[in-house]
Amino acid sequence: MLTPWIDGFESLLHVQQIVFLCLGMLMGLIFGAVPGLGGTTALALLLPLTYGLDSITALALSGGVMGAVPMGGSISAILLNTPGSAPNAATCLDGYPLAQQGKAGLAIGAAASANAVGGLIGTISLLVVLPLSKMLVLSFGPPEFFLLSILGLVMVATASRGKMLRGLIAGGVGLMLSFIGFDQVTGTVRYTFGIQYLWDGVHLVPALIGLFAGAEMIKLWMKGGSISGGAGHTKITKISAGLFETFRHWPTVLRGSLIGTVVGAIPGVGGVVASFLSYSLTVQVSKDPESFGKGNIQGVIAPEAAINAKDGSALIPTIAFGIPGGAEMAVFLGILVLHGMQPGPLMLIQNQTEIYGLIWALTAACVLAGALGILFVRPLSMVTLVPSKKLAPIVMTIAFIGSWAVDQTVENVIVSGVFAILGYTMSRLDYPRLPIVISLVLGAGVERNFHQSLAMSDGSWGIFFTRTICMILLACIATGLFLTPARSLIGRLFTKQVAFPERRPA
Amino acid sequence: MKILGTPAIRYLPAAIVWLFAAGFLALTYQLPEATRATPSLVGWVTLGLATLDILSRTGGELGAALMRAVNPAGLKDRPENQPVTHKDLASGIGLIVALVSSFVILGVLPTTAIIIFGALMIAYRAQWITNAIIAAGATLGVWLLFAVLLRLQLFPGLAFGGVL
Repeated sequence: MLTPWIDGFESLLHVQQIVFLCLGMLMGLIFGAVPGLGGTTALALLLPLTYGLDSITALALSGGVMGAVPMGGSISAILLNTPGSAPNAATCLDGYPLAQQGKAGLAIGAAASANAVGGLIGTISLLVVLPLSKMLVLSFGPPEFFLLSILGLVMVATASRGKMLRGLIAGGVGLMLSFIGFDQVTGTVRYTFGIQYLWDGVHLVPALIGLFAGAEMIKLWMKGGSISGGAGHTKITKISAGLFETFRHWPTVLRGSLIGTVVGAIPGVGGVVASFLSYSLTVQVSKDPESFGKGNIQGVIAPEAAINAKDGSALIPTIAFGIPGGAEMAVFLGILVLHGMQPGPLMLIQNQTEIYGLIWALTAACVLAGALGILFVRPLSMVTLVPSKKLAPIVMTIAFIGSWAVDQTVENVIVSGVFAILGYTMSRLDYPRLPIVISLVLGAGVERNFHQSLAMSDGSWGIFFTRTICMILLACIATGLFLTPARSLIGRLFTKQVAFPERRPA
Repeated sequence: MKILGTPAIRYLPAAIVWLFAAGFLALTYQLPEATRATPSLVGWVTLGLATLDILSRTGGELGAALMRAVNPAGLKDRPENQPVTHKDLASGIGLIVALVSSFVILGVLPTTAIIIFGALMIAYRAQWITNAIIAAGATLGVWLLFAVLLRLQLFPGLAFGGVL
């Protein structure tokens, strides 16, 4: 049973893997620290560059990025009151007041150790759950996989912060786009308008680069100005004291990690919910709730532990079921596909070394990113001062060249351009982008499983209503669809209390 | 102009999706029956959802109730959706169009230099020496990364013998 763990660990013990892991961490810290970039853009940018690497090295690089992004985000949240990525917004609530009191080092140290502990708990949960999910996933047939894909889409749409209908529409449009090209079942070519490039369908990697890196860079370009205000002359001392603060407040870090682990495993819910839920619960159980928002160290520890714990467990639906829980996971899934791995039951059987190698890489990144973040804390805070109009064209150009580099096809660049404009337009019109990506990823599987299900039942739809797991999945889909209206109704009946709304950063 | 109590422009996104789904369905029904099973199902569902989106945008009780139930975020203006100027919009979209066109016509290295230098000049006209240094550095970086490290033959562009 331990063999895959050991094989995975050994696969990382090479100079090349360690170097790329460190490179990934450095890139994760930088992209995590700069608001508007984040882990998704970092992975989208890296995706084509991993093409020339072997799968273990590519996963080490990705694991380094994913493990280090939260630490980068917490540094800018604490020093600049500007969260590097959305989940770090909860860290600003107490991290920035601490920095204003001259305790920035304490907060950064606490964030680093909370990140490490949270990340460790997240990856331990992944190690425990993966073998169990393997047993579960092997009992699934085509009808279950079809409904599971639909459930993934519904969950992502429901979790789109009050935009369920638009999320479902984006999912529908994504599915339509995924039908372009060869029909796997009948071999017919569809919706290509005579363009040979489209015979293979909409290529996932260029679409991802356009939707995330491209669209985000358009926004950054339009925003203009400096990404954040300066860190001034904030003193960064008492870092080591901060490292121990996490262990002094072990119930907080444990609670945050468990919240992050559970929330991360649910597709679409994401880090923002995990971090704010962890923060709110910590305030509620605290004996001194008044001190939160004014510089309570637990207000830093709670969200940071949750954010990093989420990363490990978010890999569970991605690897075991092929359903990415968020944008970052969708891009990561693109990396897996690029390296010939097909997330789902087959991957759990055929690519165990790669999976455990990734888990070890993520674990190492979670622990080491804190140390690296502390080491580079000042330059990282300076990175956020780069004017957006200088950063955006450079990142955008490199991302689009990366899109071409995937298979050296110039049409990829056109696809990236189209999806960049689509992504920006969707963002402006308040349509979530994640469902479109999830649909592009799941589309082929949805169609194949739908056909196989109907073939199993001689064309009867009854197959979806007579199997136990199908019934459970249908109940979950129905619950997901009623969740937004129910939440809206409850919201109207009961007044919602938000912790320190005036202190929440934009 | 208002339609059912809502400015016509507010229906535009939902109407575009509706037309897209309708067009998709029209194409789908030209396919053999076995091939169109899943696409037609998805097409009809999306058309239904787009209709619901249009209805939720209407003024009056029905629209408001639908919006509250299935898209409560649509009831309030989000900060990211503050109006942008036409100039900003044109420069953002224009940058993408210029990047793609230049890539196809001129190839990788000239595009990197031209787009980065051009974009920086738009933003910081006075700092042309810094802009040129950044553009040259980025081009060198791209060449080192893609041509030297990854050993890829960089696309020369249609103007210099490249083919689609």
